[in-house]
Amino acid sequence: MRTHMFKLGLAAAVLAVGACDNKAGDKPTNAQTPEAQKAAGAKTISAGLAADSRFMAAAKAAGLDQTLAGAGPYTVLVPDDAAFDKAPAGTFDTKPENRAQLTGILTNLIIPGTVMAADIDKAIDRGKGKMMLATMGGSTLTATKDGDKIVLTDAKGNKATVTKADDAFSNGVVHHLDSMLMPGKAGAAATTKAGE
Amino acid sequence: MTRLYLAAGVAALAIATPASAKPGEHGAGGRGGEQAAKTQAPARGGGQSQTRMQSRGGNGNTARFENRGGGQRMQQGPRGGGFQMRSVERRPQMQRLERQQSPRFASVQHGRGGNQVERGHGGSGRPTMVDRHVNRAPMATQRIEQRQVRGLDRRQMGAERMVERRQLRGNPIINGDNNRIAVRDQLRGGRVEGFHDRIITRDDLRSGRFARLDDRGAVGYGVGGCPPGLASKGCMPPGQAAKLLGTPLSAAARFTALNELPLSARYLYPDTNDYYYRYGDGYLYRVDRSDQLISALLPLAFGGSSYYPGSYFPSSYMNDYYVPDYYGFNSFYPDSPYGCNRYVNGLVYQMDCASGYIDNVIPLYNSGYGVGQMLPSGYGYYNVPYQYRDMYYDTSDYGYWYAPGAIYQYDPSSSLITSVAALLSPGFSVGQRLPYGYDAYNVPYDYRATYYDTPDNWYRYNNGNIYRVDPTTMLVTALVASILT
Repeated sequence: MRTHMFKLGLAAAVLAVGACDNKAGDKPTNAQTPEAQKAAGAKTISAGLAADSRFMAAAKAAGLDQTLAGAGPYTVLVPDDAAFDKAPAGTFDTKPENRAQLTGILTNLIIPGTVMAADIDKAIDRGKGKMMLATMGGSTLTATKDGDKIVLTDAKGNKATVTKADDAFSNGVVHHLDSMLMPGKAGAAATTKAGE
Repeated sequence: MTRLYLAAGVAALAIATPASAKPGEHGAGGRGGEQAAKTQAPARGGGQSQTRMQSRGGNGNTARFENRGGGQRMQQGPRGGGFQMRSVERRPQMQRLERQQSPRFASVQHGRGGNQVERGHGGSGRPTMVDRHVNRAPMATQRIEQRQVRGLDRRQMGAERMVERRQLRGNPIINGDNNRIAVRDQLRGGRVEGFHDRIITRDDLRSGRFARLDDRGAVGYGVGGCPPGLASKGCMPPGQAAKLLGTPLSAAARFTALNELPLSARYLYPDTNDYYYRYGDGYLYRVDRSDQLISALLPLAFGGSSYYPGSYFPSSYMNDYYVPDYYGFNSFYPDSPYGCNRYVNGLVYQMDCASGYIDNVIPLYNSGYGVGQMLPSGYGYYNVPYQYRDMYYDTSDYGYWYAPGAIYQYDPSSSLITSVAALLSPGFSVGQRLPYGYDAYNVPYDYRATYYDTPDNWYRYNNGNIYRVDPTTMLVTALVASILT
């Protein structure tokens, strides 16, 4: 009887170990349910942007690649790879300890809803030369025109020009930038004192 | 005859199980099993679940309890199970209370002892259930007893309970810092005695369960070393945690149960050829493979703040640092008669309004909080906004949780946030002024033919809904469509 029990236990242990080995632990899990994937459509921003781009590498490190596969819709400002290279060393390090900084920077490049270049143009005209865009990260970007091109300015005064606008996806739109935009200190909701 | 065979079989198993335990490693556990075999197997007559309990005696749990309680109590306990040992374990405390001259208490204790013995020999066919009943009854009695003697010396009792609890968890008192926090917690608990007692009792039970799971190699965190109520939050003060840098992983394992990351979160902290990760007590430990020393420590909770639960918020900040209204933070984290919220540099501190004693620290998304961090304790309930509920619902593998700024996907076993399912912006509500930054038309493609801006009406998208805005007054006048439902 003891031998029998031992065999049973051994079999269970082997099965358990086998089950563990079968699971792929190193792959990111999809945060989107089947319903959310259906709503997001086939060609999402996450799937449509070049997987080897610096932006997507940073988005993946911050866990935002799966967000951009969701229903959204989002308007995403994507600086080109050269803009990432210009940033101080370590800014876009994909190590876990840098994840909070990456999240702060990237959410400052995501705007709620679908904002096309023509919509920004109209708002600039209405706003007598400038308009404001609230970002998901809590900062605001100022949009102005330089000839035909839209120029975005962040809270720190960094400027970026839209080089390719209206890259349409099933869950939003992407505008490509030639330079990096950074958030203000801890977004708009930085330490607030009474009366402010 | 069949009964005889059954009894003989069970007795054989009872002897065999401790004997098959690893020699040396769980020696005490083996003795526990042996004790159970001697005293219990013949008395009970047998049954499958009894065998289960005896095998517990041999798997190391008993060793844990025996170390704390001593062999004498082992002999008193008719069973080898962990729960039983826990209830027996409480006796020294009661003896101390007895010394505090409480005749009422003494009589209650006597009654309890009798009750326990009687139930212990009840011979139920479902010993696990009995375990629970027996365990609860003395606990309930003890609560009454504790209230009866509370008037005697509250502070002394608090300190004793603290020591007792630490003994129960098998963790030495580490240093003055930790000690101070635990005592502070006790003093605070004294203000809300009845409630606090319940928490302690529940916490003891819960951590007992975690400990048992842990012995089987399952995931658990916050076990041991924590003041009550903080056990599941990760409670090691940052100063204490920093001292673990450069020490072997076993040094950290003395304070908390360390586990591998759950599969769903492993991609966030991938092991490499140079190092691997373990987590516990609200921290992630990076271990260098070459020397097996902790080379980095990442806080998973409280946003790495130097003010952590159990410490005090500076009183000079109390009147200044209110939670901002941006994103509706101040309505999500409101002040109430039960506690105050304050906001400093991206972190919300939940505290006792009068003393500033910090109960919880909650990092906000806009300060970079999120993926790879732990869900703030006490916020694990399902709270996803209605328009997103058909899309983000809890499953056995994942939970979804909303906090201003995002809907998070998390792993229920570890509370680690595995992904951001959706980013949300500060919500509109009908009647309010259109927030700053929504100058541009932003309605999704599919709805542009229906909802387009005119001189009289604007339309703006926000968090799954399309709102109508009066361009003259800039007031949000109506919610006209929900695109998610």
